[in-house]
Amino acid sequence: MPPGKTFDIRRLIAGLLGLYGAVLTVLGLTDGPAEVAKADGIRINLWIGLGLLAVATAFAAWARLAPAGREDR
Amino acid sequence: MTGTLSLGAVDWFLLVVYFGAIIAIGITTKRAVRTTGDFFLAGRSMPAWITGIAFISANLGALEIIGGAANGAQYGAAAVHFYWLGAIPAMVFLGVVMMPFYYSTRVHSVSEYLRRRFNNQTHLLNSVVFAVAQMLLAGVNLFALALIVKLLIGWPLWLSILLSAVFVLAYITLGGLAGAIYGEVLQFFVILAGLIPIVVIGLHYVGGFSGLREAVQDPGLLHTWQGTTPGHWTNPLGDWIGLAMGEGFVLAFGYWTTNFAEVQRSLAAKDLNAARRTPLIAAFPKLALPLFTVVPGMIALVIIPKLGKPGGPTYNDVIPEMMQRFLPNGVLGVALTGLLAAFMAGMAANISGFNTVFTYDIWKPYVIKGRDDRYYLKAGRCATVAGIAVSVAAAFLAAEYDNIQNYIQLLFSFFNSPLFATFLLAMFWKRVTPWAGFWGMLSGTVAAAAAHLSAYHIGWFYPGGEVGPHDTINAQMANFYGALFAFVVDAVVTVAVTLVTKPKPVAELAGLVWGLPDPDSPDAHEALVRQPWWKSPVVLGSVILTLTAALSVWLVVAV
Repeated sequence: MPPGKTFDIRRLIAGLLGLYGAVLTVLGLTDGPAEVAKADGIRINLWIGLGLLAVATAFAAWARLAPAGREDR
Repeated sequence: MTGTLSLGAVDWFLLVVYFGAIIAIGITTKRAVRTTGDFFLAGRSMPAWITGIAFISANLGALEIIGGAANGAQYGAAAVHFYWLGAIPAMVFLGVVMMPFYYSTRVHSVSEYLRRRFNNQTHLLNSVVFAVAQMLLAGVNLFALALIVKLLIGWPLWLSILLSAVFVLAYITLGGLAGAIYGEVLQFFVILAGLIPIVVIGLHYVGGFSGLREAVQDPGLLHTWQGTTPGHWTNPLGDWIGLAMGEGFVLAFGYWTTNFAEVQRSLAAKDLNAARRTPLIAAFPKLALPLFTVVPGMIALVIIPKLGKPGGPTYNDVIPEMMQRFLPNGVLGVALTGLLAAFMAGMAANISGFNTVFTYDIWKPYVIKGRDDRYYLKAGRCATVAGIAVSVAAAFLAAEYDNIQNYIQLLFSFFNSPLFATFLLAMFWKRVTPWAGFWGMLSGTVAAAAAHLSAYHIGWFYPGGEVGPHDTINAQMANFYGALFAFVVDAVVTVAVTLVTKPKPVAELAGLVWGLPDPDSPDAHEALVRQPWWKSPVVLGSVILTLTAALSVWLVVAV
């Protein structure tokens, strides 16, 4: 890899899943009765959105605490 | 131009963002590619968690998702055999036992091992067979993808085939294996995020697992090991001989231990320990996968009338039907993205396996020799384009079979079962001669083809024991036995030819055969390092095997 910023897939994962999580959470909060009924009464966008935000946070934290390029990963 | 899914702007947004990320991966990884080692082996620098997730992801194409759910609907609980019996032991064996033969010998491909162990003829035979197989399988992935896109979004087949081919082309040609691997890691999480809602909502709808069990009409669909007595089998997948020896041993080991599209992910790992842990790390999500594929399949069987029957949707329609029925916009976009991503990643794994074998094992040693590394790097990129072009053509071959899984299993039994017999003998018996390797492999493949054609005339494979109309045959069972037959033929021929031909001198086999360690092994220093217990392949392997056994027993007892 060229010197400087190493590509860390964890940050990309955190970014993408974080974006997905944010979008789904907003949707989940604003979903109308039709959407909730379709999912058999479960506010599924909200739950998946929050789950994705949690995973994204975990990856971001991991990327921070153990940066790419160190030997003992 | 509308499909069955009512997609909203947010769904399209999620889809576009994902593919933007994939292209970003391609561009970023391209900058790091300087040598063929970088392009084909990701520079041997990846940590185990990345290669582990890529390993399971590479397998998670059309086969696993659509086919897995189709199997769940067609065979019921017995479909878990394709995940537990048909994968976990093989993955453990690969990581614990076989990996040093692949990694420490620094071979670029599974085929190259055959060249070092045997001779050029065996090497070339396997390389050509593998290259052709990968293009066909990429074609299957591509066709299934196009069907899904046509069904869901309404785009015509040719458009989705071309678009997907272009995307895969972009990130594989740019970034090589690293691009493929990073893409696979990303899509693993998206796929889960897309499948989880289907399972959650579906189970909620039928009243949980107990509700599902009560709703299933045919008790045979709840049987995993029940009804597998040879001669009197009633299990949807036949008797235990076919299941355990055909599927569990030959087919499973044949795929997971010799399929370069998988093994290649391990070869990209940064050291031997990481390479060994790769399939073991992958085994854990594999254990959980039936929850996301088989269970929706069984739920679909319960809630969709006429599923798999004339006039109704086919088994392959399970996942699209569930998406359409239960997912609101938002998670629908995620599920669609995950599905498309999985198809493309499956295809990408085939193509990255293909271009490596084509360049390193066919082109470089036999066609254009002795050029510098930059030439072969370019050749690899050209091979990628050509391979994708051929698989686009092959995409229309997959139209014949109702359940994609049957087609895939068939293909694997032709190619992988004899290969596994040859590898097993090659790695554990130093006496096996080069020509034995060649003739064994060839006869095994011929035997597989013969078995497939003659199975229709053998009553053993029909329910009740008598030959009947060809479409009532237990196709899976016939495949299992066919694989077993090919394995046995390969082994017998290999042993027979070994006894009448000359082996290679033992000195040339160092590091390639069990019991002949290589004194100059590049990974010898690793044996001196004390690993923590959770990095031990033996510990990880034991844990996953125990978990699998426990779950299997529970499924027989509790259901």
